[in-house]
Amino acid sequence: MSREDGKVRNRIRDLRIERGWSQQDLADAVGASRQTINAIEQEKYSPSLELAFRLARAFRKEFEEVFRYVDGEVGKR
Amino acid sequence: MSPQENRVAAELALWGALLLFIWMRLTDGTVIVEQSPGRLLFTYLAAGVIAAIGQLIIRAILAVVFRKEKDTPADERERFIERKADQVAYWAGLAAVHLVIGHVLLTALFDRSDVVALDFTSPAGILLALLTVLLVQEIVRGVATLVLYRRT
Repeated sequence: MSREDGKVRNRIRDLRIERGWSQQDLADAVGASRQTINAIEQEKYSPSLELAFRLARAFRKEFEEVFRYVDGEVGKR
Repeated sequence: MSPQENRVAAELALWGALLLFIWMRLTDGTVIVEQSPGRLLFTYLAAGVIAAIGQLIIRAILAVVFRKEKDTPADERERFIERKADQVAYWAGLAAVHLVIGHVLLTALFDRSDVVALDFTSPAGILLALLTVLLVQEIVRGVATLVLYRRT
Protein backbone atom coordinates (compact mmCIF):
# COMPACT_ATOMS: atom_id res chain seq x y z
CA MET A 1 0.00 0.00 0.00
CA SER A 2 1.26 3.49 -0.75
CA ARG A 3 -0.15 6.90 0.01
CA GLU A 4 0.31 9.59 -2.62
CA ASP A 5 1.10 13.11 -1.47
CA GLY A 6 -1.86 15.07 -0.19
CA LYS A 7 -2.68 18.61 -1.16
CA VAL A 8 -3.27 21.83 0.74
CA ARG A 9 -6.51 23.43 -0.45
CA ASN A 10 -7.51 26.97 0.44
CA ARG A 11 -10.41 29.45 0.27
CA ILE A 12 -8.27 32.55 -0.20
CA ARG A 13 -9.78 33.61 -3.51
CA ASP A 14 -13.36 33.35 -2.14
CA LEU A 15 -12.52 35.18 1.08
CA ARG A 16 -10.64 37.90 -0.79
CA ILE A 17 -13.49 38.49 -3.24
CA GLU A 18 -16.01 38.52 -0.37
CA ARG A 19 -14.09 41.42 1.12
CA GLY A 20 -13.61 43.22 -2.18
CA TRP A 21 -9.84 43.10 -1.92
CA SER A 22 -7.49 42.90 -4.88
CA GLN A 23 -4.61 40.44 -4.91
CA GLN A 24 -2.28 43.40 -4.40
CA ASP A 25 -4.23 44.52 -1.31
CA LEU A 26 -3.89 41.08 0.23
CA ALA A 27 -0.23 40.84 -0.82
CA ASP A 28 0.51 44.16 0.91
CA ALA A 29 -1.36 43.03 4.03
CA VAL A 30 0.69 39.85 4.44
CA GLY A 31 4.04 40.99 3.03
CA ALA A 32 4.10 38.86 -0.11
CA SER A 33 4.09 39.64 -3.82
CA ARG A 34 0.91 39.75 -5.91
CA GLN A 35 2.28 36.86 -8.00
CA THR A 36 2.66 34.76 -4.86
CA ILE A 37 -0.94 35.41 -3.81
CA ASN A 38 -2.03 34.43 -7.33
CA ALA A 39 0.03 31.21 -7.16
CA ILE A 40 -1.46 30.33 -3.74
CA GLU A 41 -5.00 30.99 -4.97
CA GLN A 42 -4.41 28.72 -7.95
CA GLU A 43 -2.93 26.15 -5.54
CA LYS A 44 0.27 26.01 -7.57
CA TYR A 45 2.26 27.00 -4.48
CA SER A 46 1.77 25.97 -0.85
CA PRO A 47 2.72 28.82 1.48
CA SER A 48 4.97 28.39 4.49
CA LEU A 49 3.25 28.03 7.87
CA GLU A 50 4.18 31.61 8.72
CA LEU A 51 2.60 33.04 5.58
CA ALA A 52 -0.42 30.75 5.92
CA PHE A 53 -1.03 32.05 9.44
CA ARG A 54 -0.59 35.64 8.27
CA LEU A 55 -3.17 35.03 5.53
CA ALA A 56 -5.67 33.55 7.99
CA ARG A 57 -5.08 36.46 10.35
CA ALA A 58 -5.62 38.97 7.52
CA PHE A 59 -9.10 37.47 7.01
CA ARG A 60 -9.68 37.28 10.79
CA LYS A 61 -10.31 33.57 10.43
CA GLU A 62 -9.03 30.46 12.16
CA PHE A 63 -6.31 28.69 10.24
CA GLU A 64 -8.52 25.73 9.33
CA GLU A 65 -11.27 27.98 8.03
CA VAL A 66 -8.85 29.10 5.33
CA PHE A 67 -6.69 26.03 4.73
CA ARG A 68 -7.43 22.33 4.74
CA TYR A 69 -5.33 19.33 3.98
CA VAL A 70 -6.76 16.79 1.55
CA ASP A 71 -5.29 13.31 1.75
CA GLY A 72 -3.85 11.78 -1.40
CA GLU A 73 -5.18 8.65 -3.04
CA VAL A 74 -4.48 5.41 -1.23
CA GLY A 75 -3.56 2.68 -3.66
CA LYS A 76 -1.74 -0.59 -4.03
CA ARG A 77 1.84 -0.49 -5.24
CA MET B 1 5.87 38.91 -16.71
CA SER B 2 7.09 40.21 -13.36
CA PRO B 3 10.23 42.41 -13.16
CA GLN B 4 12.18 39.40 -11.85
CA GLU B 5 11.14 37.26 -14.83
CA ASN B 6 12.07 40.06 -17.23
CA ARG B 7 15.49 40.37 -15.61
CA VAL B 8 16.11 36.62 -15.86
CA ALA B 9 14.96 36.54 -19.50
CA ALA B 10 17.22 39.48 -20.42
CA GLU B 11 20.16 37.90 -18.60
CA LEU B 12 19.53 34.65 -20.49
CA ALA B 13 20.01 36.57 -23.73
CA LEU B 14 23.21 38.09 -22.29
CA TRP B 15 24.63 34.66 -21.33
CA GLY B 16 23.73 33.28 -24.76
CA ALA B 17 25.48 36.21 -26.48
CA LEU B 18 28.51 35.80 -24.22
CA LEU B 19 28.70 32.06 -25.02
CA LEU B 20 28.58 32.90 -28.72
CA PHE B 21 31.32 35.54 -28.24
CA ILE B 22 33.61 33.07 -26.47
CA TRP B 23 33.09 30.33 -29.04
CA MET B 24 33.69 32.81 -31.86
CA ARG B 25 36.92 34.03 -30.20
CA LEU B 26 38.32 30.61 -29.29
CA THR B 27 37.16 28.28 -32.04
CA ASP B 28 36.94 28.09 -35.75
CA GLY B 29 33.50 26.55 -35.74
CA THR B 30 34.31 23.18 -34.17
CA VAL B 31 38.10 23.37 -33.92
CA ILE B 32 39.82 25.17 -31.06
CA VAL B 33 42.19 27.83 -32.36
CA GLU B 34 45.43 28.14 -30.41
CA GLN B 35 46.21 31.70 -29.41
CA SER B 36 48.81 33.70 -27.53
CA PRO B 37 48.43 33.91 -23.73
CA GLY B 38 47.82 37.65 -24.05
CA ARG B 39 44.92 37.12 -26.42
CA LEU B 40 43.46 34.44 -24.16
CA LEU B 41 43.72 36.76 -21.16
CA PHE B 42 42.04 39.52 -23.16
CA THR B 43 39.18 37.17 -24.10
CA TYR B 44 38.75 36.14 -20.46
CA LEU B 45 38.77 39.74 -19.18
CA ALA B 46 36.52 40.94 -22.00
CA ALA B 47 33.98 38.23 -21.12
CA GLY B 48 33.99 39.41 -17.50
CA VAL B 49 33.58 43.07 -18.49
CA ILE B 50 30.76 42.26 -20.96
CA ALA B 51 28.98 40.21 -18.26
CA ALA B 52 29.27 42.99 -15.65
CA ILE B 53 28.32 45.86 -17.98
CA GLY B 54 25.54 43.81 -19.56
CA GLN B 55 23.98 43.10 -16.17
CA LEU B 56 24.27 46.76 -15.17
CA ILE B 57 22.54 47.85 -18.38
CA ILE B 58 19.76 45.26 -17.94
CA ARG B 59 19.11 46.37 -14.35
CA ALA B 60 19.15 50.06 -15.33
CA ILE B 61 16.69 49.53 -18.20
CA LEU B 62 14.36 47.41 -16.05
CA ALA B 63 14.52 49.98 -13.23
CA VAL B 64 13.26 52.61 -15.71
CA VAL B 65 10.62 50.34 -17.31
CA PHE B 66 9.25 49.16 -13.94
CA ARG B 67 9.76 52.45 -12.05
CA LYS B 68 6.06 52.51 -11.10
CA GLU B 69 6.18 49.08 -9.46
CA LYS B 70 6.99 48.90 -5.77
CA ASP B 71 10.53 47.75 -5.05
CA THR B 72 9.69 44.86 -2.74
CA PRO B 73 12.28 42.41 -1.47
CA ALA B 74 12.01 38.81 -2.72
CA ASP B 75 9.23 36.99 -0.90
CA GLU B 76 9.23 33.33 0.15
CA ARG B 77 8.00 31.98 -3.20
CA GLU B 78 10.70 33.87 -5.08
CA ARG B 79 13.34 32.61 -2.65
CA PHE B 80 11.96 29.07 -3.10
CA ILE B 81 12.24 29.45 -6.89
CA GLU B 82 15.81 30.77 -6.56
CA ARG B 83 16.79 27.81 -4.37
CA LYS B 84 15.26 25.30 -6.78
CA ALA B 85 16.91 26.95 -9.79
CA ASP B 86 20.26 26.91 -7.93
CA GLN B 87 19.84 23.17 -7.36
CA VAL B 88 19.09 22.55 -11.03
CA ALA B 89 22.07 24.70 -12.06
CA TYR B 90 24.33 22.81 -9.64
CA TRP B 91 23.42 19.46 -11.22
CA ALA B 92 23.77 20.90 -14.73
CA GLY B 93 27.23 22.26 -13.84
CA LEU B 94 28.23 18.91 -12.37
CA ALA B 95 27.05 17.09 -15.48
CA ALA B 96 28.92 19.54 -17.73
CA VAL B 97 32.17 19.12 -15.74
CA HIS B 98 31.89 15.33 -15.94
CA LEU B 99 31.21 15.59 -19.66
CA VAL B 100 34.43 17.56 -20.13
CA ILE B 101 36.39 15.11 -17.93
CA GLY B 102 34.97 12.18 -19.87
CA HIS B 103 35.78 13.84 -23.18
CA VAL B 104 39.39 14.59 -22.16
CA LEU B 105 40.06 11.15 -20.66
CA LEU B 106 38.39 9.13 -23.40
CA THR B 107 40.15 11.13 -26.11
CA ALA B 108 43.51 10.50 -24.39
CA LEU B 109 42.71 6.86 -23.66
CA PHE B 110 41.83 5.98 -27.21
CA ASP B 111 44.33 8.46 -28.70
CA ARG B 112 41.78 9.87 -31.09
CA SER B 113 42.83 13.53 -30.92
CA ASP B 114 43.19 13.35 -34.70
CA VAL B 115 39.43 12.92 -35.15
CA VAL B 116 38.12 14.79 -32.07
CA ALA B 117 38.12 18.45 -32.95
CA LEU B 118 37.71 19.91 -29.47
CA ASP B 119 40.98 19.44 -27.61
CA PHE B 120 40.31 20.67 -24.08
CA THR B 121 43.89 20.04 -22.92
CA SER B 122 45.44 23.18 -24.42
CA PRO B 123 45.24 26.58 -22.64
CA ALA B 124 42.62 27.78 -25.14
CA GLY B 125 40.73 24.51 -24.71
CA ILE B 126 40.76 24.74 -20.91
CA LEU B 127 39.56 28.36 -21.04
CA LEU B 128 36.83 27.42 -23.51
CA ALA B 129 35.70 24.42 -21.45
CA LEU B 130 35.60 26.29 -18.12
CA LEU B 131 33.84 29.39 -19.47
CA THR B 132 31.35 27.19 -21.35
CA VAL B 133 30.57 25.20 -18.18
CA LEU B 134 30.03 28.44 -16.22
CA LEU B 135 27.78 29.93 -18.90
CA VAL B 136 25.81 26.72 -19.43
CA GLN B 137 25.22 26.68 -15.68
CA GLU B 138 23.91 30.26 -15.79
CA ILE B 139 21.71 29.49 -18.81
CA VAL B 140 20.25 26.41 -17.10
CA ARG B 141 19.65 28.47 -13.94
CA GLY B 142 17.80 31.11 -15.99
CA VAL B 143 15.67 28.60 -17.88
CA ALA B 144 14.84 26.75 -14.65
CA THR B 145 13.87 30.04 -12.98
CA LEU B 146 11.54 31.00 -15.84
CA VAL B 147 9.94 27.53 -15.89
CA LEU B 148 9.48 27.59 -12.11
CA TYR B 149 7.87 31.05 -12.23
CA ARG B 150 5.30 29.57 -14.66
CA ARG B 151 4.72 26.34 -12.76
CA THR B 152 4.96 27.44 -9.13
